[in-house]
Amino acid sequence: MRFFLNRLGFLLISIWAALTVNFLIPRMMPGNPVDAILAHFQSEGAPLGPNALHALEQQFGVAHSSIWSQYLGYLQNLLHGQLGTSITYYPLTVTQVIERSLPWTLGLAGTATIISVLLGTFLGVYAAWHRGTRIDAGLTTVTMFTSAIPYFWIALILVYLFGFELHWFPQFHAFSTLPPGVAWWKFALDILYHAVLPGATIVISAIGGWLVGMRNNMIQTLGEDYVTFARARGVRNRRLMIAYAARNAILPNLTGFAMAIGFVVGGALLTEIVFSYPGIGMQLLTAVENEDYPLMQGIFLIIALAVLLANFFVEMVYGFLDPRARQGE
Amino acid sequence: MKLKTVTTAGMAVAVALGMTGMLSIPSMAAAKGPALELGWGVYSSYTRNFNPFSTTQMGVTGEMYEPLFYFNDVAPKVEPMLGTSFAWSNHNTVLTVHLRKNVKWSNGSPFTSHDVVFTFNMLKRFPAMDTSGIWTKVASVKAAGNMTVIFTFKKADVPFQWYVLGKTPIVPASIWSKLKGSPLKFLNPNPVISGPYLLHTFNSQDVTLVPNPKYWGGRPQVPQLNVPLFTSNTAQEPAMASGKIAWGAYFESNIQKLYVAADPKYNHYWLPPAGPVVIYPNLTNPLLAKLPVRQAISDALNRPKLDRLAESGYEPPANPTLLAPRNANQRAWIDHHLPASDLKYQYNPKKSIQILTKAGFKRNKAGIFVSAAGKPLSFTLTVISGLTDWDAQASIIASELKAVGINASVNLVTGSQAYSSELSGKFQLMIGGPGAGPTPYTMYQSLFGPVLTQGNWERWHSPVMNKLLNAFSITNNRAKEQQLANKMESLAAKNMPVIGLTESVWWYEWSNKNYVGWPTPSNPYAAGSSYDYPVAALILSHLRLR
Repeated sequence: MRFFLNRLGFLLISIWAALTVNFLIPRMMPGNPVDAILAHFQSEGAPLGPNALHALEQQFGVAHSSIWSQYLGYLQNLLHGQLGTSITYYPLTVTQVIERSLPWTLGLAGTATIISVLLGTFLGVYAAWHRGTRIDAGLTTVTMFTSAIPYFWIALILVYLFGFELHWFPQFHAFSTLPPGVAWWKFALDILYHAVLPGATIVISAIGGWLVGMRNNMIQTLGEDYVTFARARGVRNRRLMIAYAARNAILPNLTGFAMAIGFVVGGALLTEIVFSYPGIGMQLLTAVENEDYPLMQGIFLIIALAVLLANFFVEMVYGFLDPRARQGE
Repeated sequence: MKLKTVTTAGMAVAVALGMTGMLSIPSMAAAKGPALELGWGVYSSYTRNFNPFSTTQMGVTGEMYEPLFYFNDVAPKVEPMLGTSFAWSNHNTVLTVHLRKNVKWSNGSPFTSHDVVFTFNMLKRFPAMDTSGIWTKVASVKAAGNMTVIFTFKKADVPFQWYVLGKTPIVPASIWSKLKGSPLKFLNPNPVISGPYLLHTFNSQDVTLVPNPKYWGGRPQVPQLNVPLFTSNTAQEPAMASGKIAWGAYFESNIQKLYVAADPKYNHYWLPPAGPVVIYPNLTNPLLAKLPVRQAISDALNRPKLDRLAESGYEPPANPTLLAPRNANQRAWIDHHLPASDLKYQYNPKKSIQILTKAGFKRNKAGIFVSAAGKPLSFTLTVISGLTDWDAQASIIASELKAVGINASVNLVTGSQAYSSELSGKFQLMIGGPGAGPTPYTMYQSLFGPVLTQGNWERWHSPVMNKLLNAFSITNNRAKEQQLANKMESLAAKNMPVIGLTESVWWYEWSNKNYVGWPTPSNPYAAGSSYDYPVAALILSHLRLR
C-alpha cells in the first residue's frame, strides 16, 4: 500500500510538472497564432483586409493579461476538462479535434505495435531455441537491418513499390470515398486495406527490437541451471522452451510492451505524414505549422499523460510480479 | 504556400460506423460529362466548415457564396455578380448598388436587398468578423426598395469599394439571422447558397459538389466537382500530372517538366503576377534611412538571377513602381513616360560601390563599408523559414550584397515571428509581400499609408505620398486617378522606401481535356487561382464540355 501511495504521489507530481512545462513552452516562443495567420495570407500574395489584425485578435481572444492569471485560468480549465479552442480548426474545441484523430492513431499504431510485439517475441523465442543456426542468423540479421532503417524511409519505399508502382495498396488516406449506403463491413475492409502499408511500416521497423531483446533474454535463461536440470529430467523440448525458458525471459519485454503502448498515443508521426493518415501525429504537425498553441498543448498533454500512466502501470505490475521492486522502496 | 485548414466533426468515427455525414440531394437528371476533380491546396483533413467568414473554412466557399461584384485582378474589368451596377454620389460619400433580379437562394427563397443589409449589419454587430474593417469606413447600410442598397460612408473613400463590393460574401438573412452567439462559431454544415455549386457529400478526406439548379447564371455544365484531400504538394503532383486533377492552384518548382510535359496537349498553366515580393528596409535605422544605402542595395541585386534560381523562372523581376507590367490590370496604371531607370531595376554592382563611396562610406579591413561615424553596413535579413523560394532568395541576396561591401546575415523565423517583428519594428531588412488590388491605391496605401499596421512595415512617413493617397481616395475620375497614380509611381521608384525583388504570382494549372472555357492570357476574365475569392464561381459557370 505504501508503495502504491508513493508511486501515486510521484505520478501526480510528474503530471503537474508536465502541465506546467506544457503551459510555459508555447508562451516562450515569440509571436502568436493571429500573427501566424496574417503572415500566411500575406506571404501568399493575398493579405487579409486592412482591419484583420484587430478582428482576429478579438475572434481568437489573444491574451494581453498577466502570465500568472493565464496560468491559473489554464489549470482551472483543465480541471473542468477544457483544453480550449483550436485555432486551425476554429470553432472546434481541442477536445473535438483529438477525439476524432485519436481513434485512427490508436487503431493503426496500437494494432501494429501489438502485432510487432507478438511476432517479435515469438520469433525471438524461436531464434534463441535455434541459436547458432542459419535461421537464427538470418532472422537476427534481417530484423536488425530493418530496425536500423529510418522508419519514414521504409514508409516511402512501401508507398513507391506497392502503392505507386504495383497499385496493390492505396498510397494514402485512412479510407476511400464509398457510395452512400454501402455495407459497414465493406467500409471496415476498406479501412483495413488502407492500414496495411502504414501498419507494415511500423511492424517492420519495430519488430527487430522485440526479436533481439527476446532472443538475448531467452539465451541467457536457457543457460540457467534450472533449465539444464529440467532438460536432464527429460522435460519435453516444447515445454522446456515455452514454460521454463520463455516464461521467465519475457518479463523485460512485458514491461517494454506497456511502455510502447504509452508511446502509441504519440502516434507514428512520420508514418502518418507519409500516408496522409488522419491521426494524432498528423494533427500535431498541423498544429505546429499553424502555431496553434491550444491544439499543441492538448496533444502534448494527452501524450504526456499516456506515457506517465503507462509508466505508473508498469511499475505497479512489476511490483506485483517481482517483490524485490516493492521492498526496494 | 496555402494555409492549412481542416476537418469538421469530419466524423471519422461516425463514418467508420457507416453513418457517412452525407447530404442527400436528389440526383438531378441531364448531367452529362465526367466529374471535374479539383486540387484546392493542402489540408491535413477536411472540416465541415462552410462559413465564408471563417479563416478556417473549406476552400470551396468561393463556389457557394458570392460578393456583389468581382474586381478582376488580371484585367481592368469589374464583373457583376449579385450586383448589376453601382454609382457614387454626394461627393463620393454615398455608394448606391443595384442588385440582380430573379436570384434565388438554394432553398428557394428570393435574394433581396434585405440579405445585403443584413450581411453588412452582422459585421457591425460582430466586429471580430469584420476583417476588412468595413465599419471603420461605412456609417450606414440601408435598403431602398427590394433591389437597391445604399452605403453611406463616413468620408469619401472610393477605393474602399473593393472591400465592400468585391470582398464581402453575401449570405441569406433567413438562415444567418437565426444564429445565436457569434456567427464565427457557426460551421454552416449544410450551406444555403447563391453560387453555382451545392454541397453534395462530405467526409474528412473528400468533398463533392453538384450544380445548383437555381443558379442565376444558368445551371453550370460540369455535373459534379470532386475535391479530394491532399496533405502535401508532393501528394498532389502525380494526381495533377496524370490529368486526374483538372484544376489546381499549387506551387510547383518545374511545371513545364512535371506537369505540362505529362500531357502537353491538354495540361496548361498561367501564372499572372499578383503583388511584388520586396525587401522592407527599416527606415528607423539611421543607415537604412539614407537613400544611397538603399540604392546601393538595389543596384547590387541581380533580379533575373533571383527569378531563375530561387523562383524557377516563374516569378519575374519586380518593377521599381512595384506594379507588374505582365499583369494587364496593373500595366494599365503604369506611367510609361517615367525615365527608364524608374521602369526597370538595373543590376550594377559597380554602381553600388560608387554610390556608397560618393556618400562618404569607406571600406574597412573586412571589405565592409563603414559610415563616417564608424557604423558598418551590416544588417540582418529576416525571412520566413519554410517558404523555400523566399529562403533561397535571401541567401542569394546576402551573397550579392557581400560582393559590394554590405554584410547581410540571413535570419530565418516563423511566420508569426516575422509578423510580430513587422508590427514592433524590431528588424533591419525583411522579405515580404504586400498584396495588390484593383487600383495601385490598395498597394500604395498598404505599403506607404499612415496606418502602420496595414503594411507600412518600413515606416515611411512621406507627407507628399499621404497627400496623393488622400486625393486618390476621394476621386472617382479615372483620368484624375491616373495622374495621381503616376506621381505615386515616380515617388516610389525614386525614394525606394521598399526594394522590389520579384513578383509573386497567382498559381493556376488546368487541363482542358474534358472541359474548356478556362481563363487564359488571351481571355483573362479572372485570375485562375481558386484561392482568389470569388473567382471559382465565375470560372465554373464559364466551363463547357469539350
